[in-house]
Amino acid sequence: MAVIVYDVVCGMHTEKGNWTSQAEYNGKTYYFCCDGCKSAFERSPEYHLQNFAEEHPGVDPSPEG
Amino acid sequence: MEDCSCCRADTAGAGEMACQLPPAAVKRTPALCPVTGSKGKRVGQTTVKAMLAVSLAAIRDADYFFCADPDCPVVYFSADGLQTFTVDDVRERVFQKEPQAEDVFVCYCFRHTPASIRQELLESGTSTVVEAITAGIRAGQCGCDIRNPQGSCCLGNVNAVVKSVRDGMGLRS
Repeated sequence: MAVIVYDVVCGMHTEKGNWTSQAEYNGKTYYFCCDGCKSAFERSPEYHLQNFAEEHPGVDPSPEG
Repeated sequence: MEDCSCCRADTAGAGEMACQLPPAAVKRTPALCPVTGSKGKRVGQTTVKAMLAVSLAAIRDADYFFCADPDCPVVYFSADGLQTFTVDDVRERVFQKEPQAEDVFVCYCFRHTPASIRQELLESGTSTVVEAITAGIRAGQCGCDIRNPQGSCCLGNVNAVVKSVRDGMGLRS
């Protein structure tokens, strides 16, 4: 079964492996649709993770698998 | 966590950072739209300057936020809530403010609208808009910070429009 990952900056999602932009934060890997979103995340990860959690309750943006 | 209001870490470009805290240590309280109380999304001054249709003399040395509430005319507001810019002050129509409009851009860099997305789906039964935008991004052609009023990547919005139009047409994803 395909693992779906979310870009926590823009909210886009795709099957894991489709995006090459990624960043590590607090021991977890996050994936991004583009380097612009990755850069925004790296400048303020908590801000974007909090926004994403509020807009996508219960969704893990980067599930294992 | 430490609070910090001295920088615009989430959207500022390199060289704009004044804060000495590592970005991950910076915690901010949410900024609420002074008209509706909706939570704003931080935007860089580059975006505000690019999008305003009024004199940039109005711009202050302040953090600005984007209000996405469709029922609110405010597009940008300052962190202290004392300054607002409405849809009438902005050079582009704002996608989030016109959720029913078919002719408003959802992708400002490559000029895609709900209508153009719908048209492609009607003609071919499929949508290539996400792939097209992704190709443009990879080619370094996008300019979300100066073209999109929200100041950031549109792909999440575009994907939501594609899904909405597909669902409305009874098409499978």
